[in-house]
Amino acid sequence: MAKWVLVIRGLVTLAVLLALCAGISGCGAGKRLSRDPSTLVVLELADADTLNPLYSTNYYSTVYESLVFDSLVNIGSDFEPIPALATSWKGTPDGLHWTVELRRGVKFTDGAPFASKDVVWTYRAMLNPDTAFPYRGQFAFIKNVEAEGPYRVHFDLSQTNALFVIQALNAPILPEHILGKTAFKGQRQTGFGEHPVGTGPYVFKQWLHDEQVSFERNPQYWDRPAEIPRIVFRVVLDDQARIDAMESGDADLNDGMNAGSYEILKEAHTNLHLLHVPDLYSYFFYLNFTRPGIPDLAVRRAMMYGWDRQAELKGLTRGDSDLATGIVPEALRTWYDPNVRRYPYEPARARALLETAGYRVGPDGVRRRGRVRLAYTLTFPGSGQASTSAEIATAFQADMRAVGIAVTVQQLDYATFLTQTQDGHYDIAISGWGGVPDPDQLTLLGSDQFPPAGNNDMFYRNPRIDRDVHMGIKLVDPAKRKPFYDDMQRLIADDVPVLFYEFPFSRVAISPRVQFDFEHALPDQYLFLNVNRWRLVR
Amino acid sequence: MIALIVRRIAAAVPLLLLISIISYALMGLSPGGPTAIFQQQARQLSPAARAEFIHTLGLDKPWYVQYVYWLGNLVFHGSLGVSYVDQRPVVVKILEKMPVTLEMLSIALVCTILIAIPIGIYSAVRRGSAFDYAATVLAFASYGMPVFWLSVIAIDLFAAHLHWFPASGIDAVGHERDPVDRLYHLILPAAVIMTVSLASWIRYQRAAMLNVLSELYLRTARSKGLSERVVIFKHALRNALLPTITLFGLNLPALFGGAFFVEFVFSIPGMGYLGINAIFQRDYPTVMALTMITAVLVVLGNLLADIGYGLADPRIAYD
Repeated sequence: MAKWVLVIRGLVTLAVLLALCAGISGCGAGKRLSRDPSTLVVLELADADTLNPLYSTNYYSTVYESLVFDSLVNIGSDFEPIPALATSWKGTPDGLHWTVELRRGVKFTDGAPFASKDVVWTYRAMLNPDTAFPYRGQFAFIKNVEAEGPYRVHFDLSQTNALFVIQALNAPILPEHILGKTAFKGQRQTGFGEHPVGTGPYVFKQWLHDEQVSFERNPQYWDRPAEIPRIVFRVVLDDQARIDAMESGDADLNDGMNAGSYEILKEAHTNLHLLHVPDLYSYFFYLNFTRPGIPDLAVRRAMMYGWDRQAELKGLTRGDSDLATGIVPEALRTWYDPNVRRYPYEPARARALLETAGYRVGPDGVRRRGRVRLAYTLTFPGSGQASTSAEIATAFQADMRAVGIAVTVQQLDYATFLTQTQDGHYDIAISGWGGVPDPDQLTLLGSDQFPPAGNNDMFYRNPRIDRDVHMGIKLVDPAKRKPFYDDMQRLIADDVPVLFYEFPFSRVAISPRVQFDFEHALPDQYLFLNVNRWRLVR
Repeated sequence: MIALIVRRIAAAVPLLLLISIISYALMGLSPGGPTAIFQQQARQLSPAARAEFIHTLGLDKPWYVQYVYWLGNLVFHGSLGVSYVDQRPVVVKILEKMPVTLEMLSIALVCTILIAIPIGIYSAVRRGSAFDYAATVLAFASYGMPVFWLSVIAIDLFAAHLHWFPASGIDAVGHERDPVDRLYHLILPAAVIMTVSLASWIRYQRAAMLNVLSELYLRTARSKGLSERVVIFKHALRNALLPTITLFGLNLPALFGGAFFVEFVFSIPGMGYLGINAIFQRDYPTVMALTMITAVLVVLGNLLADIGYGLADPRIAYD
């Protein structure tokens, strides 16, 4: 008998102990371990995938890489190129040949000197198909990279490209003395992404996947060395947990907040500094021009007038976002043109437009003209890290029904959504576009960019926009480019190649401990551009 | 015993092979592809670049060709492959996530056993009592609750409203690697897993005990003048624990399955979280590795159940 009784007694004791543990930890939760005051704790929504710029694919990787690596050219507060590892760059008048002068005396954080061989290796690696660099297409116009001595590099382009300086020269420069030992084909397996080495303001320290990444300042940094000794990025998915950590002072910066969290912190009147900066993205509904009705401008404009975007946006972001007026985001202050045709919510006008164009309401409540019936499927990603709110879709559906356009809502997981839409298997699709600090829209709108060549999976064709996007990218001088992009923005607003929805905002909460030039803060990963000038105060 | 183990493992090989073929086929035939790992920038990737990326990963070949490569890699190099997302060996990624999952599952399992076995036994001994009915109703209620739903309800009640427990994650900012804080974070998810698995344990234990209680040898024991306590605890209990041991083995994979949803809802960076993200990102090597680990667990669980059965009951012989 004794044996079983003992076992049961043992089990009961264990249960009590476990309960006690829980109790103790419950009580102890309020207490905080002393926190290193010289560490900047940043909260992020997800983890980086890899810290190897040749293979990284997400936002968080870009943020962390910007601490570890430098590029030849950096982004200034007006999204203009400013010197970094390059001290100057100069192109021939045709924009086909560029000479870049490199900064002297720069060292990688392992002590090796930085020189032209690193630049040449980096660009050759990106351009070589063996490396399988996923964004090779964005650099493909670079024909050749050649070093002239240790501090000068020549780039030859196959065609003039306005994005050369701002985008191509903004790529992280990798250490040839480490990666050059491996052939391009084997770059995927170097493990460099787990312990990256660059010339940047911070040195990679430790990475606990899906938990945190930490960095220490690089005292040898060529520019002003960073003042904040340590930066730790923590992955915290739960909105409330992030807000709690900010309010308790356990974290210093809450990056990528959603509108709800931002509003909570704003109303709480904490001493937190709240940044609210327009993003480089534009959210819109893609329209498939091979579908009946869509090529008709009256239908597209009716969709815009019949859609109460303002109410929807207000409901979803509490009025903290701006209605999109086109595709070029308003964050690009020097390029963005607000004086274009607007589409206020005027359902009567939408109905009149359709009526005039000959679309009559059928017995099923859906308008039709001959064999064209205005019925579409609205596809959107409903799961995964890039999900869109189903509310946007259903509100659109209801608004369209009111003007006589039938919309069926289809939610797909992101992977399926991507392949479907990019292959043109959709009627209307919700997605975003942007992230590039330039007004160029060639791959999206050019009629020579239908899949598989480019991203015009709307199959949109407009000769005047074609002229604008092609001229705009072939010119290097911003003053000469501007008229083309002004024209393009007007045409886009008039012709509605997509249904404009939202100019999103970057929302960041910052503890009063952190000080930097808030006035000139940029959105997204560019927030950390001048992190070496940030300070922590008591 | 050794012979049994060898025989069972040998029989498991074709089974595992079949599982791997079916899983690979299902994955290969499902829509979407690993370009989803590009998230926001995915749209900027031109279809040509996408095709090139797919080609580098060998995904432009039919699924059965890919499967042969995958199998060859596993058999000849003992490798489960490299993740598409971060180029790290899948094994490393899984081993990294395993401790958290095991921690959570063992808390859940220990609590389940501690609670379910006494309830089951007591229900059987006091069959037809109010306690028995209450336990039965509760067991069925908990059995009927989907784990993802219960997770959301638990977060809403205990985290959002009562603030007893954190809603997600495994440690608070500033408490990294603090075991007490870790336990505090794991209690709620472990409780959810425990709640849904409680039912089967209680019912099993109750049925087994009832079975034993009707045996003639208990009447013999009682007629010898033994106290009811000795009869129940010494004579009945040992036999009544047998089916429960079986359940332990059979429950292993179900536990891992439940952990998938719980980890996702509670944002616990364990194996389930890794698995669901891998599915969303179409990171096939990670998905395959996790599927195969679960399959091996099913086979192992069955084997363990059989062995445990034999150890507890000398009447069972293996031949």
